Amino acid sequence: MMSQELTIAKPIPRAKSSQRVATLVEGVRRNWLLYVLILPTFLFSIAFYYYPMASGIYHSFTYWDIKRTIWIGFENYQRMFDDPVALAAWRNMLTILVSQLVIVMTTPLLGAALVAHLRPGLAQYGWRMMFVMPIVVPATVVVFVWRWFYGGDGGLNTILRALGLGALTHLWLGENATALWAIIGTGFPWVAGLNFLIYLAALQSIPEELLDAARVDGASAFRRFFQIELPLIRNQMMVLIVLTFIFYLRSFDAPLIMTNGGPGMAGTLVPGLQMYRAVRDDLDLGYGSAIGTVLFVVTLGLMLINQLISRRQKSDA
Amino acid sequence: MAHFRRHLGQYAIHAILLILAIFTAIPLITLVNLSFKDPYQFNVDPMGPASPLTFENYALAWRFMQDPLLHNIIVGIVSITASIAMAAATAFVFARFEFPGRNWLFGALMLILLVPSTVLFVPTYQLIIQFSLQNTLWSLILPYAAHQSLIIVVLRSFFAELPSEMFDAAKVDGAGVWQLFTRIAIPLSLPVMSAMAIFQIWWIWNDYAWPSLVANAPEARTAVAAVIFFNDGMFRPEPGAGMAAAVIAAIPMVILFLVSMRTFVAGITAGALKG
Repeated sequence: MMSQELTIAKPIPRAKSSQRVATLVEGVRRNWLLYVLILPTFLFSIAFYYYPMASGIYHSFTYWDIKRTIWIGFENYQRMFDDPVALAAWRNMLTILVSQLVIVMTTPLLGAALVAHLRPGLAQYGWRMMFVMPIVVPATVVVFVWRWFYGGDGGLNTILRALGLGALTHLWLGENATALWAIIGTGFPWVAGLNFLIYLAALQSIPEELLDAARVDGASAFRRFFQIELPLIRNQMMVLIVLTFIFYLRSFDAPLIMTNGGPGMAGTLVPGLQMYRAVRDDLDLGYGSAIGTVLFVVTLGLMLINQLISRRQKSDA
Repeated sequence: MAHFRRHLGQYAIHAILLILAIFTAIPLITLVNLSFKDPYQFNVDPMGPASPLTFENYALAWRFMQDPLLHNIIVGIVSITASIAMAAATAFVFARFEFPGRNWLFGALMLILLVPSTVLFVPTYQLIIQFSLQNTLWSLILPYAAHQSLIIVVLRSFFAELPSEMFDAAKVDGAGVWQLFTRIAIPLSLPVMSAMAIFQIWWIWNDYAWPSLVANAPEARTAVAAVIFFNDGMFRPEPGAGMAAAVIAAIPMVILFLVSMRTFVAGITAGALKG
């Protein structure tokens, strides 16, 4: 996309290589200030992106505890596939991803569709604010409050007892049957946030004439939504789904704060948290790097899908 | 009749939204409510309204939270100034100039957007330990300052769309690259830069896993990490004070949102979609 602007670097075909080098050196010399200006960014990128990435992939094949690095081939990966705790972590991850897939496709869309169908005005703006504003509360604080909600004398059990449903109380985060679902349930009803905002913007950008035409034809509000609006925001929904997957693949704040991966060995453990614990508890950086590398490969695949979708979206527009 | 039905639909929408809003708000209202309760109220009637209000909770929490808040502010200001200054220069160069290696270098930068933080986590930890930066603010400032690729993407497209007449006039007057950058590009891009700055401060403020690993000591602890440490650590504060600490950690972001609503939403949306 930039190649047509590029004039200096384009080598003349069949030019002698010494001539080409001379042109290059001259170009670099004449533009030295430009290189100086981009140098800080590249220094930081090398230190905190290129080097760590190469280091992480390399060290996933080693035993690594900062002092020693011992090449052990695929042993870390072998261990990951044999480790029932790691398998449980990936199973939990899958449960979380499927649940979040259902969530991202339902409640934020419902909220956005309702707000989009209000008559424009102060009330609509107020509801929009209501569901955008909660993004300012740090996620850690939200998780912290929900951890209290799920506690033995927490909010959820208090409400259940007040309703006379004392038999339904649980140690929500302490029991194997409920812990993972409690973590997924954090943030219920999951309307507020960026997903809502992006759905709303997409719905509001649909030209009114399209809907008016359907209205004249007598299509009900539900049919209009499912047959006209939903297909038109399909691309945004796909992007949000991919972003949700990428986010939850790498995020482990909620299990870290709420359960530290328990109850038991891996009640709510996810691969990211296992990586974190390999570093924090065992100083087993090699194993941690191997988990990080697998997460990287999976995430990279999803990001490439995301790029494809957004490219298609641009060509659609 | 049709008129009535339209109204009915609107009322139904308001009703459903109200229910969703109540469920959304309950945890946050409960947090604030609990932060005003003394230990007895907290244990006996956690969900009822706090009365009398126990303001001592905030006095206690504030004593614990003031250093972490200061750390957040220092880390935020230093790392954001650094990352935006570097990213703006880089974006300007890539947007307005041609030079040997331009496409290769830009491609290399864009590659970073595809690298998720997970693969960097362990090696960056090793770097921090290697240079003995753990439990200093540098362990946060340096990696956060390196977080530039998104700012570069946004600013580059902004700079590329500026009409070249703006620059040509200054060039005729003898302005060099540096003058074009500081006198024209920077002043024009201040609104975009502030949106990016807000996005940076927002995710830095939210970041928990990294600071809790490398900066979990009194000299460097950040606000959200301090909330968890305050509640789980050996201090075992009065429960209401623990909640008050969480409120204190959230307040600066609420204020930032209220003073810059539009920019805040724009910055975070851009960050989430492209990051």
